Amino acid sequence: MSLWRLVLKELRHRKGNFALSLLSVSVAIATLAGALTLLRAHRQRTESLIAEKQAQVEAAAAKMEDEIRKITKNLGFNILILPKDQDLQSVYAEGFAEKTMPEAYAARLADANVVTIAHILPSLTRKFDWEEARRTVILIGTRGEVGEQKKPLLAAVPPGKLVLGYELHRQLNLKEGDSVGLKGRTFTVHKCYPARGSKDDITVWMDLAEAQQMLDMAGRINAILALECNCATLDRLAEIRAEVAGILPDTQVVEFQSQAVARAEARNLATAKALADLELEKRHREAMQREGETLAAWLVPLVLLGCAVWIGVLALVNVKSRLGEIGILRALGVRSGQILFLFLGKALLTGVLGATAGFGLGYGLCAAWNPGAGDLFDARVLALSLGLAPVLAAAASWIPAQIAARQDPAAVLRED
Amino acid sequence: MSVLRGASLELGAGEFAALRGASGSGKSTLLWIAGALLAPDGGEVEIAGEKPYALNAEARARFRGRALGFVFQQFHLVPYLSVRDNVLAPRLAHHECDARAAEARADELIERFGLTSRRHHVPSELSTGERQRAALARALLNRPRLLLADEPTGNLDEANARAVFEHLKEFAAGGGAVLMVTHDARAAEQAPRQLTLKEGRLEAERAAAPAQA
Repeated sequence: MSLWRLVLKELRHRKGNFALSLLSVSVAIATLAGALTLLRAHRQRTESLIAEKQAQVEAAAAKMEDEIRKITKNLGFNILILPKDQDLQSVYAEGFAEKTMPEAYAARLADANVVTIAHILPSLTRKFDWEEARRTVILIGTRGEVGEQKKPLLAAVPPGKLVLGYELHRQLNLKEGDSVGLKGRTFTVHKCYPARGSKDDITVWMDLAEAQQMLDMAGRINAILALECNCATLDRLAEIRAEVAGILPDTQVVEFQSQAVARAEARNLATAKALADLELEKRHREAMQREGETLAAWLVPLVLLGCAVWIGVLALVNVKSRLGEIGILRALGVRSGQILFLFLGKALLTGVLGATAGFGLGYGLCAAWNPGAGDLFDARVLALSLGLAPVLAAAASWIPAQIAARQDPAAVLRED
Repeated sequence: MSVLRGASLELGAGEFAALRGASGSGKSTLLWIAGALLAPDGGEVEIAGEKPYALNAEARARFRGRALGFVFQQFHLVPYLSVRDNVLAPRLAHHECDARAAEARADELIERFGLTSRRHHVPSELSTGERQRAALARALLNRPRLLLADEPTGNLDEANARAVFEHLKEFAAGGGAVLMVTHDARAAEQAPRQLTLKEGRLEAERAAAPAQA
């Protein structure tokens, strides 16, 4: 016969009281374990979601960067460096500058190694009466890119050769390799462009030096086309203007509002928006997590307190119903410390069993409600439950156990 | 309120005394005092050479477990323990004794009191006579020097009461002292020594040799 045997026998005898105490501890621990598991699930889901979104944004941004490069390459240059005294109204009306500037400017710009400009293409553009073909065309003299380019976006037109726009080669029935006369000279058709739906369709490209000679404008150009890149700021134009102004003071820089630029900007904006949304989502979820933690910080102690009071009431009822038993045990010589043990031992046992059941319940329900949340098991929560529940039950039973231990056996037996 | 006034009682080994008195005469109070359960306001109590009220509460509890046995009218068996566990209950207070020896002693008492077939039954499954016999067996487990019985036959029929008296006499004959409190004159007559408590004083006393009881 031992005190533990007595505790176990009493538990079996007063099943109702034990069941209610066990339920109370289980509810308290289920609330605690459930709240902590839910917060863990929320944190894991948030981290997973944010990581997934971040990966999506990064992938989309990388794809956009590549697309922008390709689109910019396909649609042409979007920076135009013109003589400073050139009236832009005329440029927009005619499609090219009337004023000219030294061709050497292109070399000076290339030599300056402007980091914001990757590709430099000087050109001389004029309307030109192509007598042999009996039509007016746009003649562009180009020498390709100035400076050493690792990845030249456009190749130069070799001397003695022409590149023709779609309408020209179609109407003149010309194809690559054909010979054609231009201002008394014979040129070979180097390339025939497909339809672009722009002035390019009535444009003839030729070597810059030959164009200058043909137009009596040796050493002159009227524009430097450039592909901007590597801009650190969103306000590229201001950045490029500042750089170009330092190298070519008597020029002006115009950015064509090409589709590529608009799309690039839109995509840049979309990327920035996506990143901002991601940050907002992160902050929103962090706020939700904090709200959940705050709620749990109030709710869990309240439930624990409520359950502790309930356990205390049940323990008191238990003491009252066992007064006769306490009296006889005391009369038989059982010491007050042993009586205390009977009640606290019962509370500890109830706590351990309640913690196990409560943790299983709280964790199980949360895991069932969050099937995709990954591994929600946290050994620290289990340890906390197993440590806290017996302490809670024992603390709640402390006063009733003290009442039991201090019973006067003579008074109890006399009343009984 | 003063219950006992100058009451003096000396009970020797092997004596079986019955204490009679009207309700409220203080006989139960005397029993509690003798049982080291209720400290008297004055006077001295000495049992088996020890003064229990000179001990602290814990030591006095140990003393009770070691030297005293109790039998009550209401039996006071622990309701969720079997007969055997109830008989073994005093061992909780006296756990320094050998467990096997205690169990052997419990089985011996159970057999002696005719409870072998009921040893695994809980009190609610026993008759009143069986319950009182189980209570008696429990009281005797630790071989007490003094057995205190408070109306031990108050709830029993004649046959069971007779059996209880036989056991009490047997205990006294074995060298133990029995102090039985009763208001029943017929029950008191079973004891060789009869005491009457009136207005807090032991007024009348009739003694008989224990061996003749």
